[in-house]
Amino acid sequence: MKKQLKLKIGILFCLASFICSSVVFASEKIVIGTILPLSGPISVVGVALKRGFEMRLEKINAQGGIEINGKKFQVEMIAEDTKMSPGASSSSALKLIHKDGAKIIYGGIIESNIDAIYKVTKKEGVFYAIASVNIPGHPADVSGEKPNLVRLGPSFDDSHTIDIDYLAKSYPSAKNIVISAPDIGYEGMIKDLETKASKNGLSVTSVVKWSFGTTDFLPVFIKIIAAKPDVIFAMVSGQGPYQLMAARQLGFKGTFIANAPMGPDIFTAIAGKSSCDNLITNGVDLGNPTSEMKDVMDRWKKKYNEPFIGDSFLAWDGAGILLKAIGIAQSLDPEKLTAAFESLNKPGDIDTIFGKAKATGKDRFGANRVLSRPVSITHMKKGDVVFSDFVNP
Amino acid sequence: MALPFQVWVQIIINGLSLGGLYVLIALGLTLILSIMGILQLAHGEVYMLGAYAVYYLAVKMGINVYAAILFSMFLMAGFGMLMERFLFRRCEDKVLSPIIISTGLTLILQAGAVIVFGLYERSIPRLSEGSFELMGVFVPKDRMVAMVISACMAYMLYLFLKRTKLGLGMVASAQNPQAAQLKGIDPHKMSLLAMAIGSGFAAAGGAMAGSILMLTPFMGTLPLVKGLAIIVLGGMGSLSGAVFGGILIGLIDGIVPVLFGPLTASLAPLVIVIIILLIRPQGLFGHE
Repeated sequence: MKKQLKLKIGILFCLASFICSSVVFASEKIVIGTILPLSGPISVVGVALKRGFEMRLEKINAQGGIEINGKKFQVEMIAEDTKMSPGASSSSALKLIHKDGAKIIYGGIIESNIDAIYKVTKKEGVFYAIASVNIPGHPADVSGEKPNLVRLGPSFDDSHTIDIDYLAKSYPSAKNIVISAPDIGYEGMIKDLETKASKNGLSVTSVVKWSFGTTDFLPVFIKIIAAKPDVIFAMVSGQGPYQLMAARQLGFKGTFIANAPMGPDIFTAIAGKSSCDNLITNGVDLGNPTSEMKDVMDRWKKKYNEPFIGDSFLAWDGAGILLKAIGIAQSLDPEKLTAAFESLNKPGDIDTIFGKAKATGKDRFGANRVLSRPVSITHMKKGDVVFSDFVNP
Repeated sequence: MALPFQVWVQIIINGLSLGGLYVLIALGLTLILSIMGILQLAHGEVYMLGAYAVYYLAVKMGINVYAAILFSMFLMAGFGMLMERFLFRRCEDKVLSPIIISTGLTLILQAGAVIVFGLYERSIPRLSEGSFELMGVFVPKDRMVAMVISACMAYMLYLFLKRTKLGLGMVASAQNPQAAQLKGIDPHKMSLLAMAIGSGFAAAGGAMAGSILMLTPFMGTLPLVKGLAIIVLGGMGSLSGAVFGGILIGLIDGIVPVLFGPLTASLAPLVIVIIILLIRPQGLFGHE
């Protein structure tokens, strides 16, 4: 009897300790859910984003975490996979919110998945920060009519003016541009580029579209080069280096602009050094990183021991901006978080790895809910980087 | 769209080089189908693994790319023989089992490739650097080399099948397996050989594709689909049909995107296959 009583007390004590510690643990933790493509053909981007986000949270937690109303919280990231499917994205969002207690969702880089995630977060009253979109202004993108939604990745067409201005300055004799674009709804961005080009006395003489998933760019570029361009502008895609390779193999020696965040290292590895001549890209020169970039690259090497992927910078910044918004809002309430982000609308209000940034978008999207930050521009001649900088749009 | 004659030269050469890659994969599929009576749906992954083998040999170990391709062919031939011996031979008289096995193998090999190789941007060294000028337009040298290699390999296979004892034995096994067996031709030996040659050809095709196109763990899916379309178009079990069909599909893939745009380009090969099958259901070179 005595033995049984002792056993019962012991069990009760253990249970009580567990419950108390769970409660204590739960009150010291904020959960941010990430939904990114961790499998499939673009998982290299999704995994890089996840890792960038994770490393930033590790740094912040090591510094004591985030403070809300005088209390310190550690931030925990729970990652789910979009599986390149809106259905899986919705399920992931529901799981993160209901099972894991996520008050903030970060992620989505494909418009259909972003839309699916937002439908859930809107219904559940949870704050959603989009990682990136391919097509700014797409119905899945932010707008003034969509509450509790912000985008922490810049608009890809922010770089158009920067690229065109740099082109006009560096290659003043170039007049005719042919655009190469994937056939996924880039009409708005093409029109934007045409307008910006004409302001610099350049004209877009032709637009050649190719199917998403194209692996052989020679037929596409046979058509492009038959139009005799001075400049080929390759709209944002992951196939910039393959397009450059095709253009050079067909004898094109003019200026090639790769409007994609792929650095000179990737172009050199895929297209070869000899092809990287008269090349302008919006990727970061990882051979010449800033001190913060070097910190991220060192952390990556130490933790993962794999080749570094520059996309992780985007999520590194995303995590930092989210926590800054929490710090301003002093709350996880989605409306307060949205207002906090919108308040960062003056130049320099946000620090990113690319430089001083701000929240923007009132004119274009109806509210300041999109990150505007400096764009990387790198110029290569004969395989070497001759210019690399970050320019504000 | 009116194009200058020189541009047509570029388009046709590109089409023929693509056709060469398709011929290699289709010849392998046809050989395996003729001798073993199975559709090797993991053939696309053998193509992909052959490419990665060349990457590691040529880039990581610094071996000459042509030597790496040859070594990769032998490596994948050995892999093919292992597949025949330990997977497909167990279900040699069944219809569904080989399909299930090869489908499962596709999933395992593809997922395994993602885990082992990752999705990082990689490329195999060029078969030949630069381009040469022909009638005022530039033709990439590596495409010409791929075309020549594919043609040579197809011709060597022809000579092997027509002029060697083993090759004649394979032809006999394909035409009449029972009679061949009565003549003392070991069907298992023929199956091993078919898988070895088929896998070796796939590896060569994959290696060249990894150099001139893209190297990814998913690179085998589309060529497999093309290969299946080619063997249906050319006639199931017909090697000459595989060659003709491969060249035809390659030319379509080279010409149609330039003339008619991306949407038509993705549909054209399938539409042409359907039309030909409506007129001649056994395929262009197949027998009724």
